[in-house]
Amino acid sequence: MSRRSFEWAPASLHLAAHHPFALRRGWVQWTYVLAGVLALLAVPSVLPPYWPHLANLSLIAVIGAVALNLLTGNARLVSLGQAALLGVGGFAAGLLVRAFPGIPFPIVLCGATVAGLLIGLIVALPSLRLRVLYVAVTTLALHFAAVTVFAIIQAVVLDSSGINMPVAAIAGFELGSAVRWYFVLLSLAALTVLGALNLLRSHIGRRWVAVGEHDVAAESLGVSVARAKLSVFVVSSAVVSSAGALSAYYIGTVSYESYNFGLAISYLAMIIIGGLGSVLGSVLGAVLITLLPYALDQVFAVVGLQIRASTLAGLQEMLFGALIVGFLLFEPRGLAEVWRRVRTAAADWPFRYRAAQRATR
Amino acid sequence: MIPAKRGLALFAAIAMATASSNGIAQEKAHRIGYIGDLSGPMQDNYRPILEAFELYVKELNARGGIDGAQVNLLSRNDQLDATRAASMALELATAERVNSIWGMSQTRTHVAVYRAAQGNKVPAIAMFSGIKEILPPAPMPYAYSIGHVFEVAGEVSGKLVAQLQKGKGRMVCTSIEAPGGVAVCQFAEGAATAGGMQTGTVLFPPTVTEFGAIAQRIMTLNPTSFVVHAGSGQNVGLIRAMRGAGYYGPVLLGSHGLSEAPLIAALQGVGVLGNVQIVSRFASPDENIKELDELRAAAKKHGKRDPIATTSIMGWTMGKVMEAALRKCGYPCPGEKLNGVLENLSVDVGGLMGGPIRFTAQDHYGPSWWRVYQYDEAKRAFLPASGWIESSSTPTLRKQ
Amino acid sequence: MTLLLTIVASWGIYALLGMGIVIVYRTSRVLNIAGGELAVFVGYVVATSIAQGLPFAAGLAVGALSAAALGFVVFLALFRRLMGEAPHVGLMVTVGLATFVNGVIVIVFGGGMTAVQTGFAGFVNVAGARLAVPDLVAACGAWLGIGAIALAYRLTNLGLQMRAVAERVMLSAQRGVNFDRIVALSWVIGLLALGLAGSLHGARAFVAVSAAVIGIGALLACLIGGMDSLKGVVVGAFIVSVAETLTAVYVDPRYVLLVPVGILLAVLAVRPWGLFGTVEEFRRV
Repeated sequence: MSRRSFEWAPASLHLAAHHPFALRRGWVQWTYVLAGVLALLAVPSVLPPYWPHLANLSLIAVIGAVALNLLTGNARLVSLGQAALLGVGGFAAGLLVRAFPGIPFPIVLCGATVAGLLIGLIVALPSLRLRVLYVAVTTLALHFAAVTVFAIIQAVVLDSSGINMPVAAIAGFELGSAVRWYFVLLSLAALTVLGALNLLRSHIGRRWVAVGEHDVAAESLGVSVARAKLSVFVVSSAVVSSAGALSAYYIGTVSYESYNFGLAISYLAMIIIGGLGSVLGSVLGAVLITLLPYALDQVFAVVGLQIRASTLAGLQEMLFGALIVGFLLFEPRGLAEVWRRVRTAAADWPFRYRAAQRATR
Repeated sequence: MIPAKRGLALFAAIAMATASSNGIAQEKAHRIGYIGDLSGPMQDNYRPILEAFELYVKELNARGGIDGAQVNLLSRNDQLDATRAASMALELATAERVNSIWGMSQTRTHVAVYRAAQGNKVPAIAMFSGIKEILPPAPMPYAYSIGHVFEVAGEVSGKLVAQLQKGKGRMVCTSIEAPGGVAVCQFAEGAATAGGMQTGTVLFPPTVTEFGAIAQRIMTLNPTSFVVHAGSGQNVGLIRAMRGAGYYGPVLLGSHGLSEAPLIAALQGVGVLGNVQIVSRFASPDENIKELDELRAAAKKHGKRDPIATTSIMGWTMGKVMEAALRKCGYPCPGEKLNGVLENLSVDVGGLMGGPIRFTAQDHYGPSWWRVYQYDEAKRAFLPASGWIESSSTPTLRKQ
Repeated sequence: MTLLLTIVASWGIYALLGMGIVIVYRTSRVLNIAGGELAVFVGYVVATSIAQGLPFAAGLAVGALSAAALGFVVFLALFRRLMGEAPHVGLMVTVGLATFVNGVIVIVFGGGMTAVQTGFAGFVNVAGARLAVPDLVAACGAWLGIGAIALAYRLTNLGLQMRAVAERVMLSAQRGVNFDRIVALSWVIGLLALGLAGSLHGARAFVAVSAAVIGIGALLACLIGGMDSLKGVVVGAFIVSVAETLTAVYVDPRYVLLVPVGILLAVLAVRPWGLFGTVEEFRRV
């Protein structure tokens, strides 16, 4: 490693800024990580009571977005079926709870994951020979098929305005309040994020990225494109489905109307704005898109403009669409890229860019 | 410049704005919340309710409030999304500390909102359709409804049709392929069958926009009487298509927040309004009764130029219930105390409805009175064509 | 007879909408998911101008002008910059565009239900059957529009250039075809088709935020017929409208969306590029 000219800045800061997957970290990074973890754990006690609820919504979105990013960002298989998969998870949870009253929460979660896995398998099999655009189309068709099936199930088989979910409990510990949910969801989200990061570093993840970049080249290099597509579909669907089940328990009801196309679009927006292919991007995008409507509400309330509610919602939608288009046109690597730039600038400060380094490693 | 700096500044601004808006003014005031779909797909049905409710609150405050306490109305938009509705309910109950949540939008949001409200001991009173969880014998705590409940609406429609048709012929019920729609038609069929008629049901998914094919299907059942419980756009499409398919018989529309003016406007051009009736719990906007005059005067005073519709009457009625409940509660009136009041409340709304709104501990809905309105070609309006028919809150005539 | 008219009218509207999507796809390889919203937007423009007092034809003309302008603006602002990107980028941009247009509709027009008043009222008796005039107007208008586009595509010089660009980009550019202009033109024509379909649907049924769902039917028609085939989209629209109508009348209206989707999945499994699509998938724009 070359000697830096400025000793007061730790050597690993520069390394980390340029090599996101650097295996060596210095004490600076670990301090930040620790501070971050403490801050996350302190959220319920520091922030006003409504915030854990918003945090919970964001965490569920994070789980779904990370999974979707593996599929659409890394393996470049644009999927419009996010809402359908969330619905599969929700309805699987709801139907299990209906059929076996008193069934424990972790078992239902596993059941929903398995349901998502199976659906992912069923959808992936015909898509294996198809190019990107057709995969998108197939997932679109899946969405409509799923929504109609849910509607039929709910109206005909169940005859109710939604399935009511019982309060979730893990081994007797009841998740009755937003704060309790927060810690559980935080752990699950952390698990998902770490899992995704690890998968991407492993040979499985590298195959996905290879297939996403150029499937013909990948095939010629010996990567089984079909197997890679299958595995990414299955993993992604399973995780999204579990997010759907978590959401069902958290909100308290399952109803087919909540799984509309707008939901699929918002998840796509999360990963596009956050950064396709980047796990950090999924997290940033998920938090931003989840909190955006509430933040906009507050901003307009504070500014005090007497805007009609319909205009406000119209503005929200316009902002949404503009963000998606804007990021795609001008910042295709999303918020994650913005963050990387901030980090690099901080590492290089007070200089605007780094002089050429000798290659040493 | 590094773009991130701008982003950080914006984020900081939003964070500060969010934090600072949590301050609560310390004056003698009741804080009530309202959640509705103010901008989503069904805003035409829900926004006028809020507007009328706001009018009532403004007038109430102008009169000096309730024993000197003003009423602060905080409204939130849920865009017909259950998650957002639940979040709004949570926010209103915890951060804004309201003592009640009024309004609510479509049925799918109700359970989520009722639950959130219940968890925070704040009563939630739905104006639009309610769900059967509020019906006797064991209604959900802290959950009330002034609006229609689909099962009751269906049963009344069926009974009415049987009455009007003197038990002869076939009634076909149409609604949206949704749990509410299924319920409406089940009870409509049950009541009509009990009245001696033959029946049939055709349900369609909410995504259908043109009804030619649906009308054809209904015609294959040879209806002599037709009952529709759907949204405004669908009502228009269906009536047009039915007349086009050759059906000239009576059409009974369920008034689930129907705005009469757009309906009349849309169907005028095609000349199909004859023999169309609406069944509703509320007075017709074209009547001349004292309460409606108050509503019209208030609307004029505050510059609302849109013609009033059944939805405005709904909002005004809800205002009366709110005033009666808060008056009985006194000040201060936290959610739990208000809930106690609501469990034993009877509000006389005069000519706006056929009878008083009555809640008890076992019945968070109460009996309801319904009336039929017939379209009058000359006056271009829907006018009353029957007396008030009472219905209990326990529909029993489900189709077997 | 009435059933026939229903099928012909919805077939025409789906085909017209589908053509709007296919024309754009042929030259720029962008699958326009925002078709429904754009159609509804123009429908609102037409409905509002008619409500302000313009006669039906004038209202349509206003709609046509706004649709053309919209197409040009969308091309200039968005898709011009996206030339050369991977195909899924264009798709996602149209997803963002759909949300944006939805917001604009809510702000400008309120999003409530309205209808396009054709000015012709009531019903007409044809061959013993009672047909609704708005349905007739919609059917005639749609098929006239389809015919016009097809003729223009086949017979005019610009149409020839568009077909050339659709098949071989490099060769046609080398032969002097102004690629930019042709893609812009295809967006304009595509939006014209979308707008006309939206207005006619408004005349026949209604215009509302929820009416954007006709875009889904059109998309299914495109995909069944082949995303880059105009002939295919007409066939696809026929399949979709017949499937929908017959399912609604003879089976059960609740499966109305499921049947075309099932047909699409079957077609995708056997012949992923659609019934009439070109077999090879180009990576373009």
